[in-house]
Amino acid sequence: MRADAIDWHIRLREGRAEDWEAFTRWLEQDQAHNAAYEAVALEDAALDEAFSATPIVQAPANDDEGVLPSARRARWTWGIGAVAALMLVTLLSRLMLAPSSSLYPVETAPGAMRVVALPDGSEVTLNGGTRILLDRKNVRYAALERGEARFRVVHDESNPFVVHAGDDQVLDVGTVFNMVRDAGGLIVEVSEGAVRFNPDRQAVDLTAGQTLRARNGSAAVQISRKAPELIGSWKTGRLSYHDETFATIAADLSRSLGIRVTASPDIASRRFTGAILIEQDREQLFRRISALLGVNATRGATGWQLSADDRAAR
Amino acid sequence: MAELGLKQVFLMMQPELLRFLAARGMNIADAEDLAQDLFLKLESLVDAPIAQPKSYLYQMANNLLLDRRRAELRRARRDEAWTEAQSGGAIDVDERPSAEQVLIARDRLRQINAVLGALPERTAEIFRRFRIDGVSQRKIASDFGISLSAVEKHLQRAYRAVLNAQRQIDAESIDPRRPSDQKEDHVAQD
Repeated sequence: MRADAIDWHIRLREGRAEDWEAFTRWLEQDQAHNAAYEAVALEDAALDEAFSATPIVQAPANDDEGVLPSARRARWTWGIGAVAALMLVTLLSRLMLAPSSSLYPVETAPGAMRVVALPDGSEVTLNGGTRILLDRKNVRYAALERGEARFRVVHDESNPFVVHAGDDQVLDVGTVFNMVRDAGGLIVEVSEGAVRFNPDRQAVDLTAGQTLRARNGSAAVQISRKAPELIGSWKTGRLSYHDETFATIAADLSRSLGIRVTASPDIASRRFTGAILIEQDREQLFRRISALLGVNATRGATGWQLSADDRAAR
Repeated sequence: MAELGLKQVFLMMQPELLRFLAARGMNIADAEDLAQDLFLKLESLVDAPIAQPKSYLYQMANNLLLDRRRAELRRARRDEAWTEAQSGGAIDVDERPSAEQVLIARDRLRQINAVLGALPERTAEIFRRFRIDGVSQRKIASDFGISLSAVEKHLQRAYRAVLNAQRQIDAESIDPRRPSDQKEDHVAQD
């Protein structure tokens, strides 16, 4: 029965509706079935804790070494400073050469934040609803699939760090920068150091205090200025702005909160200077935003909507 | 738009979900409470197309149920005053594992890798790709040039080995007679 429970558990990880329905019927046959399944599910959940809470610093050993299984056994060493440890990514080395990709994903749930330490000392912080790919065989690689991530890259001129975002690339030698990839395009903002955007195409160099906006389907990019201390402020849990549009603020709020926040068209281009502390109590947060921005904040079926406050004094 | 669709699907399949939760050992009041919880969470979903809404909702319901069970277990363990592990729960902004949690997790990982090391390499590799990398069974089958049911067999074998080891670890970790931990002596004297 335990074997059956395990089989069900595996099947359900990719199960279709019919599988879940069949599973329900199996559970209904005997209470012991549920007990067995629950034990299995809880044991598997404990695996997640093992896989995701452990700091591993050493990059995997060269996969090409040796032929005997023992020579290719996984090796890793533990990082230091467990108490001060942030959430780190598990880099389990591979046991055998196989036609596999060495890429692996790191993802955050909507509204969550996660810090990933790379073996070279670089650091990636993911905002909510973000997905990046990293490469076991190349620590100077990342791909931003969606969302927002802040990169702190350790200096190494002989081996630049490259972040891919679709067809675009950001090349960096040792720097702190923020990237957002959404349905419309890509934003790159540099707070320290310098990056080169698309070295083989536009080859735009950005230094601290510069931001670049690229739209999908267009080679033209827009460069503007932004004070470094405002770049990537989401990481601190406080969104800081100088003369920023409400539309952008709404988008930033969406990412930090993991819920859709929109600014109605008539107020989207209004500007705001100041800081918004992201607090847990949503009602309170939006009352505060309402006061700070001078807007109405209403909660709808699909999220929060910011709109003109008709009662605002002239 | 995707999220409105999900809500509609949810409402349509609510009786089915409640039946599922009952089969999973929940009483009707708790099941309805969980369903309500799930519905509220749907509101927070950011735009993302869901290919299979029904199975997604089943998955969500099952996960919520497991979260609750785990929270209950943690509470029960804390009440026995034998562990100082920090409570889990959803921590959005700052997820710092305590030093003890890290050590425990490190230990688990070592044991799991020992188990995987004892399996045939292909079996261990398939397990890693599926369980850790999140690669689909279909893709694994095509990567290795084997059938889907062969992949399933490898996974069943690996899971059995790994989960049995997990069960062992869990059993040992709540044994109050572990010599290394001072605190547990108090409990043992009860």
